[in-house]
Amino acid sequence: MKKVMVLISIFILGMSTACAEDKIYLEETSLTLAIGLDLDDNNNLIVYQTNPVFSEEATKKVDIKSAYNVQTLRQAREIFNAMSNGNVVGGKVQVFLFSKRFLQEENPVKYLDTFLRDPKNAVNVVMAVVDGSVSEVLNAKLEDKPRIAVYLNNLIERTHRTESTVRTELDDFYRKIYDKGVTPYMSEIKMGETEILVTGCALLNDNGTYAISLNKQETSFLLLLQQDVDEPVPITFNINKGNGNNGTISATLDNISYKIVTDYIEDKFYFDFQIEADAVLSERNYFTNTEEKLNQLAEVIELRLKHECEDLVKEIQEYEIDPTGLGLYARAYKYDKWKNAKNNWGETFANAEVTVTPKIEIKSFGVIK
Amino acid sequence: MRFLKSLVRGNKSYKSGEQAKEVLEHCVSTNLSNNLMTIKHLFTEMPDLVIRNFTISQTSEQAALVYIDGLIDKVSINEHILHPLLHEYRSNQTSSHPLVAIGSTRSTCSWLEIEDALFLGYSALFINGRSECILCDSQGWPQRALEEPQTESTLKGAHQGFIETAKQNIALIRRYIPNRELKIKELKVGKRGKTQISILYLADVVNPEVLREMINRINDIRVDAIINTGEIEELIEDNSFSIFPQLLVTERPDAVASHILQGRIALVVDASPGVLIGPMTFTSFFQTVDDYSTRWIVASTLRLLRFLGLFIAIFLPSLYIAVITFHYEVIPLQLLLTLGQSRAIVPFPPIIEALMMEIFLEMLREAGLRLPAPVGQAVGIVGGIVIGQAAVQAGLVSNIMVIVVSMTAIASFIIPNYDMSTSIRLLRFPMMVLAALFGMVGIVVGTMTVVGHLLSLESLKTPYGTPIGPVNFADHKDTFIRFPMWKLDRRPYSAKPKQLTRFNWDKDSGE
Amino acid sequence: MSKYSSENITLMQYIFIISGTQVGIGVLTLPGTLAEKAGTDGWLSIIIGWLFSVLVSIVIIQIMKKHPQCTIFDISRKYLGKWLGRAVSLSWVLYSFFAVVTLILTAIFIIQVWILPETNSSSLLLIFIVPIYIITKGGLKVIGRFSEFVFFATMWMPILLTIPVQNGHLLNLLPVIKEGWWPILSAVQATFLSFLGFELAFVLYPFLENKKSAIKGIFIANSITLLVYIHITIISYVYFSPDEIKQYIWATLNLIKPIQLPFLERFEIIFLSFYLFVISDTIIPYLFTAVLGVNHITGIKGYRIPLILFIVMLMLITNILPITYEQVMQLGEWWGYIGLILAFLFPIIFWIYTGLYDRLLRRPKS
Repeated sequence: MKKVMVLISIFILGMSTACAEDKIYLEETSLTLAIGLDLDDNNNLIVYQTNPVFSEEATKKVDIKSAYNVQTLRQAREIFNAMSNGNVVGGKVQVFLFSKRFLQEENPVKYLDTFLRDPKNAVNVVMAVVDGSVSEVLNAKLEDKPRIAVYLNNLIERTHRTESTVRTELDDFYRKIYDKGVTPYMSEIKMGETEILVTGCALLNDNGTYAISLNKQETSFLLLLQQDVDEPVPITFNINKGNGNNGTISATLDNISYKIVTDYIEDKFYFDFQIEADAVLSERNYFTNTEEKLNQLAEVIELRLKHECEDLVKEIQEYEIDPTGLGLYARAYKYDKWKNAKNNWGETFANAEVTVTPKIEIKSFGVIK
Repeated sequence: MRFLKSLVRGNKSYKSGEQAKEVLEHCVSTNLSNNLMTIKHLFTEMPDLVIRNFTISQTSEQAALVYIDGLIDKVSINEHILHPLLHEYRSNQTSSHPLVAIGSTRSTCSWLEIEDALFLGYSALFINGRSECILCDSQGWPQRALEEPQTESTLKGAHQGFIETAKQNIALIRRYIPNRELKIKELKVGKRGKTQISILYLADVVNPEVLREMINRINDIRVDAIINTGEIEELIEDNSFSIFPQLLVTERPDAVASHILQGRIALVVDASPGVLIGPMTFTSFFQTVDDYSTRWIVASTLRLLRFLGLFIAIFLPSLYIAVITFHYEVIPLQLLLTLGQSRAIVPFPPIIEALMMEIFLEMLREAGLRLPAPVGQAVGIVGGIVIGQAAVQAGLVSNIMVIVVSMTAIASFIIPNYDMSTSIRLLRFPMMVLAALFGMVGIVVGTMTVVGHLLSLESLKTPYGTPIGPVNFADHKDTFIRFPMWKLDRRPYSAKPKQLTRFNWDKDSGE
Repeated sequence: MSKYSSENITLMQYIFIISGTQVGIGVLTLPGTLAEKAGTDGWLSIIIGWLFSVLVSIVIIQIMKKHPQCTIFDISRKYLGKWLGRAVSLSWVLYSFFAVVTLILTAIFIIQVWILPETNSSSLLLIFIVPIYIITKGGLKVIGRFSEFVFFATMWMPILLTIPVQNGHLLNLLPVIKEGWWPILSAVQATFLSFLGFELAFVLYPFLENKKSAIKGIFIANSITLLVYIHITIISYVYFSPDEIKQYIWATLNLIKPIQLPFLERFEIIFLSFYLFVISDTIIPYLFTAVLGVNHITGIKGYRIPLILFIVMLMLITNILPITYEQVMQLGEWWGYIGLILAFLFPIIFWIYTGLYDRLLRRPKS
């Protein structure tokens, strides 16, 4: 009996002391699903957010709000809180959108601090650059699509799987910001006539500001170099066959294996990407008469791959950034040299010699000759 | 004056309790009429007591047959006792023993024994000139036919259940274990009721310490009478403050036999169809006899399903509350949006919503249990419609809550033992309150409390948590999954049997 | 028959109690702490720390072997006399209770930071203390069973922690020993705190059924702990970039946070809640040690009275001490220092002392 009394009194005590402060009833929250950061004409920050509306009486299913004259996301949240019928919470944010202009002018890292510091906020947030204005994308009238934030997340996921864009989530972004050997990047989207388009990816400087954009084709080669591809990888090349004969061949790469040789010769880093892969021909829109020529196909693909990749690296090197993560190899294999170079790795990388040596074996030509 | 006194004490059987006791301590006298006098004094106001006076035809002795009507078998009294005594005549009568055509007879001179025997359905034969009484086993009372027990029906096992007669029940068990090592110890419990309790065990298997513990506990019982096995269970279990049943009550003879073979002890209580088995472990409440007659892969899957049911029955409503109240983050977005929309119409906090539905469900279950089958069905339909449809449409509860409640109900019905299933169902209420106060942390702390309690429980001084804590790998062959029969060559360690190996036991029997 | 034989524990329970005591809050903080001192070579420090703790564990068993029916409380009285022995016993009680306070306050603090920021600490303590009380009250038998249960019930945690590897770079670990041995050695001291728990062999030994396996058992226990720490440390280093991990106080939780399964997300909430099992598995043996010590010093029979005493003290402490980051870190640091003295230095000194004592005492006799 005594035991029961003690248990009951403990229970009552617990009931009475437990704070109700932590309770956030789901239906009373205002889930932020997308956050957009943009600059107005006077370079003042504008923060956008969208949140779903649960109430059946409301006619609008998604609510888009904007906050002007704020310095940080926390401040914006206070403003949103004052406008919403629920607590604005950041635990389910799906996408972060930055306008290109914002990234050119501002360092995004300092704005994102609250998402790292407050454990309640989400980190699985896809980050994307908008070529144009953020509000245009968020306000896009997509009749046949789900909620914009969910749609953008899925869109980037799908296009990433077909190697047309990168997928950077907030935690990856932080890893790359803090890692001296790699620079961050994110997907790039654009508002088309009626649809939202993924245009490729945007490469950022080491501090997170905008550097250059890559188109979809270039992005796929970047992904190849980052070893971040879902096999099989489709590739398409235009082939100049001489005699004014232009043709296109498409192939898919499979069983890709990488070996990266790192060296340091004469004050210069030297990297050699050795990519081995099997290829399956999937399309060829010109005619060749002999089988012999088909056998040269492997060489053709190798050559084109080498060119495309090396061109890409050169382009990147011009901006003194390293989205390929070769700095990791420098650190792992040439630590002494890396130690001197790590604080300005971009510069060092710009001087590095990067070669790509693909080795392709044609596995099959398909079912027709 | 005396007359007045007897009027005041009218209903008592004897002048005073002490006097009756004094009489009971005496021996049977040689004088028949004295004996009958004593009986009449002992059993006053008992119209069902029958005293039949007659003369034994062979020896011409005066005799009287005493029995309690209703507890005896009329056929055996008339045909096998009275008839031979009244009519048969044998020439070479040498023994002093009268002619009675009854298998079990014994003579006694103790009134105490006679009294007990009469209440058990024996008939007492007094013969003038003899200072003893012959007790004939003429038991016979209305009995139920052997039926399959309702709470423990099985698909493939035997379709017999225990009835309210201990003798029959023991016979049913013996049919499964025809072995002379199956010993029966008889004890009597209850000051007034003197209920017969038989302890069944395999003498060369059972752990003597566990047996001694069981016997000691039964001897320590101080109670008026035992009406049902459940009362004994509560009187001898280790911790009656616990929510978990520590001993098993079953109505299936095959289950009892298999438990006895595992080295456990069975307690057959007269006048009750439930047989008590101990020591038990937590996990053994999730096993059925069917497990051993279905294919082992299927049986293992079903067992795992039951344990899944256990978790769902305890945690699902509390997880729902925790998620809606504290941790919306853990649910993927699509599901979360659905949840949010279905919650938006409900005016109560989730804990109220859940408590309302769960309590209503428990009421529905309890109502259906006691009602006759046609009415019970009606209750089920009304309840189903109200829970399923109207409550949602009226905006009192959310769709998801209805699903949660139904899933919980189904999951709790999958637990084969009724006692355990009820305990589990009760457990989810404190869990729900904890979830509403502290979210996941509350649920985990609640789980920790339950686990700590489970692990510190003991059943007849053997750990209740085996084989989970203390861990016993050998017992895991027959816990969450059941290995093929030939792999189960050892008796479960949890019952601490003397003889561990199940077959080839002549090799190391008497270990 | 000694007075402890009624609560015998099996070898497995002995192993799991010790490793359960060792694995605690360290799992959440160790990767970050080591990274600060030794970079991505921190995992090597753990191996060195393990070596030390195994050595000291063996020394402890050597001391206990001479009097297999005695706990440290009995032995210290035997060797050091009534008053000095009592002082040693008291210091062990205080040390154990200090560990309990540190662990509970840290657990509450982490829960408040990550899951329930607004819930006040005394109500968290109140619910947390209920299972701890129930289990500790049952004595070592129940503690042993609980440790076994926790070990097997938390097997999913290492599997969950392995998921982030697929997004990591093994290259982060290379080169091994990048800055030489000095940073690695300097981080060893930080691992000592994480290995604390083996010193409970001082108390557990007389309860152990099979005393011949005591050394084997404590070796296995330390090695389980080593595996747990190495696993989490390497995975953290593979996943986080070397400079990023220094940003996090509880790197392990940051590691789990991004994991997404089709039906569940944000595993840090679920993980941390269930981690209370592991943390209480650390608290309970220490609390039991303190209770046993109080029983021994004061002569009170039964665990209940000292237990209630300690719980009341805990409640007072949580009400008086503000649970802040500074406070919790300070407590952890102090515990580390006291542990260094009582768990690492004391056994060695005591071992030498008992060796000399036995030799000097025996010589005049023979």
